[in-house]
Amino acid sequence: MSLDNHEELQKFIDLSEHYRTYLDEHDHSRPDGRKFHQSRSVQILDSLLQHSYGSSMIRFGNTTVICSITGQLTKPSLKSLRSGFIQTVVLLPRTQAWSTYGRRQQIINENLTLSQHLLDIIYKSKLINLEDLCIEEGKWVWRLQIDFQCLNNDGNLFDSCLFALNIALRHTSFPTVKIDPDTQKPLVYTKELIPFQYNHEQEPLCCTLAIYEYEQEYRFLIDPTVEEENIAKSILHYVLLKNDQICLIHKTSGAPFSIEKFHQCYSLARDYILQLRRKLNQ
Amino acid sequence: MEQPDECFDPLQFAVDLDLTKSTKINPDEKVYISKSLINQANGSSYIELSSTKVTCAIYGPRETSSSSDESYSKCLLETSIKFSPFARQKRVDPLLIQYDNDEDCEEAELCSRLEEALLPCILLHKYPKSQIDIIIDVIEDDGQHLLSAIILSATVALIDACIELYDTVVAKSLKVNNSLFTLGYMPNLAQVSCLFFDGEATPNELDLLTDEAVKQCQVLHKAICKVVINDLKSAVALNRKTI
Repeated sequence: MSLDNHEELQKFIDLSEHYRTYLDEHDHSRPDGRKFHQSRSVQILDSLLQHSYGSSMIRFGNTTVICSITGQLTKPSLKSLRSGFIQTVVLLPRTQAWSTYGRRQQIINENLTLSQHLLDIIYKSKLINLEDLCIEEGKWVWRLQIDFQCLNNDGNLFDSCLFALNIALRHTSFPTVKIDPDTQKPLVYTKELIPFQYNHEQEPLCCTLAIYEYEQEYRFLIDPTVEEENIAKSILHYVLLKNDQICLIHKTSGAPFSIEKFHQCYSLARDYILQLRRKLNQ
Repeated sequence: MEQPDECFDPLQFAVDLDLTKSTKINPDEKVYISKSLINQANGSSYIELSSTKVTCAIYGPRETSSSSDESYSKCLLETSIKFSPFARQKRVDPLLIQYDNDEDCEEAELCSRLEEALLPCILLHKYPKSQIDIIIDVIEDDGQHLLSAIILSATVALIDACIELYDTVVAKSLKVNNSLFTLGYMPNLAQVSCLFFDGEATPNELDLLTDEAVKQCQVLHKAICKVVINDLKSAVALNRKTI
């Protein structure tokens, strides 16, 4: 980070003041040239990892996320003999103060909240049916490992992770597994790949809105950058399914919010997710 | 939701795996270099050598917390290399802290090798009482190009962070009979910064390998120069526009 010019220095000292003056001077356009309801460009790359069963790399502006799907074989639990397991892990970029305790704990907490949210969405939206992960009842099931590695965090991680998951699932194929009738051991045929079965109908996608107070009024910033997330009063996540049903709403504390505002946000989120869905299906 | 106690890698039960995987040498390896992709870092880079993918972020030079005698006269170099969970065929669970796994040892070994390669080229005495953190993430490893990709990415990131260097260190790994030969070369000074080889070879064979590696290093050096110059050109063009 260079503190050479006035702008950088002001940003360093008081980010929210800098942001406000920028909006005043530039006719309500955000520092990266977008309007309040405009999203960043999306770049998609699929099947880039050779060791994974499915993978994708997504860029939302400068935010870069890699999603990888692999599987492990395991025994099912006694409670439900036919259901497999899913584990999601999100890894944020390690930054300079990684070694100091406080920052490290914060990063671990952020990682865990994000992974748990993503896992909840997968369960609640029934994107992946746990029974599809069954190889033989009571004997062997798949344990799905979904790893997200964030290369660069420039805000809006939630949207990009969920988008990356949708892309990766489309390009996932698993090896065929048969059970040896004599020894009950699985036989894995790594050459015979079959496309992974999941619920194509759902396509949960997220919209993140940063709520920013400007001129005594709440403004909703779609697709916020990390600076905007820092100065926002609160952050709102909407996860919608294909038929515009709400799968998850999450609002961080901060700003008091009326019901009408929620409706307004919902319609904004719906438009944004419609755009994303078009990009997904291109 | 509960998680199972014990998991097995599917490759353990593979029946159609050919273990005699021929080490094919493809001469036209893909190289992709890009820089300045991590916003928070002072310098960063992303390198792809055939299918090995590595990112590097550099923080610093910044004030050091260490108060050793060494840090009074020159800059400290701190490196950290981490494999992503999907870097290799066998998945490493990042949530599981293991103290006795080989992965940690390997990371530490790669760190020390990287430092050995970089120390000759950085002007460390220019930054007294400070430290430079080099943070590297290995996204994918194909078993051959790992070390060279790590050294290359660190060099490009150092250039991006505007840290003073004598020369760029370009590295090339070659595979000979299941042993790796890695050479770090500084093309402008025509000096070798590091050389690692863990196999059997006669001096003559080593000479040939070194020549081959130097030749390929020069090609990589040209690629780096191209990226850096293009980046500078676009920065200049951008500045002109704002002026």
